[in-house]
Amino acid sequence: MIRMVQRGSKCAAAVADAGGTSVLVAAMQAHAQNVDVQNVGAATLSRIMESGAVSAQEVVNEGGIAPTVAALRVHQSNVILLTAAYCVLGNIAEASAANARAVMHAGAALAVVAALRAHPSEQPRP
Amino acid sequence: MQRFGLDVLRHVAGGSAACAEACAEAGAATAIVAAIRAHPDEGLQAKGCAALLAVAAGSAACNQVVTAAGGEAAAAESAAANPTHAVIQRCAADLVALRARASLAADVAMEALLLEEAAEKGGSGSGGRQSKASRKRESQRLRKAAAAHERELPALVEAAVDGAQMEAPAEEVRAAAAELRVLGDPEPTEHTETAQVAEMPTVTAPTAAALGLPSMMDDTSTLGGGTTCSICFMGTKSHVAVPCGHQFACGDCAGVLMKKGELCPMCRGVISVFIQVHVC
Repeated sequence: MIRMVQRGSKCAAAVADAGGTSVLVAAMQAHAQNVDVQNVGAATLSRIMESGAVSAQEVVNEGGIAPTVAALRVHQSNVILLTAAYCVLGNIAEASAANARAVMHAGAALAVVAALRAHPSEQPRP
Repeated sequence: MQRFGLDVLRHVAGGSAACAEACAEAGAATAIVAAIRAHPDEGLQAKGCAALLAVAAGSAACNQVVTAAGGEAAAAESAAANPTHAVIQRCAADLVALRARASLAADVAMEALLLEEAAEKGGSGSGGRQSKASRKRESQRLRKAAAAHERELPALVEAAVDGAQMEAPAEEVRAAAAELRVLGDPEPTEHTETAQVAEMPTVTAPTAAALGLPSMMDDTSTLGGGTTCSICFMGTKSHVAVPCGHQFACGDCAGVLMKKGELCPMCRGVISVFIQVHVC
């Protein structure tokens, strides 16, 4: 799915139209401990939102906040996953104040602060 | 990576006063200050200052937390180090103004409390009653003034943060977007097929500003202040594109760019070949 999304905004829109967002969220929820699933899921969600194929509100409606915050909390050792999760949550929280509150209620503030403290380096890899 | 975390905190704290308070309680202020002090990059510092401002704007209590964490001092240091960066300058100034306003509100509230206590202890008789009533009126006026100051805090900073964002240079915004695309790629691993797909470096390279080029440097240079690959931020910037001469990629990323037949991300010129550079 991420390979299709990477091909461009039209492909990302096709993925979104086919219900890709809900599948991604479901996969992230079902495999919370699998770092690869979380990694690809967060990155694909981020790219779909960046391409404009899916709005932040649609991701919120599909329940995308909770698994992303959970990934941030559970897989703190994977900095690339953290970056992708940051992008997803940042896009969502930026969209509206209501979304920002939803992200906060999901526990993002604590998770982000913990991640910032765990990885003081700016680079994605030491 | 930290800049994206700072962005999340800024947006979350901007959601409402309760969100800002939650961020403050989570220790966001100290984490942001640590990030600002650890990284000299002006883009990260701008995001950090904006995040501090968003947290401080939540309430007078949030403002106190930010000040106690050294937020105002960190922003001032950042402003001194980046005298031409409008966002940092604006945020540092607004943090000072915010703290001054919160301090004024606290002083007014304290004065009102003292007046109330004095009124309670007021003397008897008509003169005493008049004095008591007068003190109560003054106390109420001061309490209203204190409440007005409190109410103005979020609005003041919301306007300030919005203004700072509006003033952000277009180049900086583009650079941040480019970095987001690059860093958004999942980490390369060697475990699964999906992980290998996820780790494919993006072909969208960051702009010169994303590389942290000092403003006085030649815009055509891609070596700038860093030698880390502009594509993956992992390898060494060891390969130069021919014929344009831009040096921005490591060996792996140069190979991917060549394989895909991409244009040079700096000048959009056709790349015939990459040459490895050996600096002696």
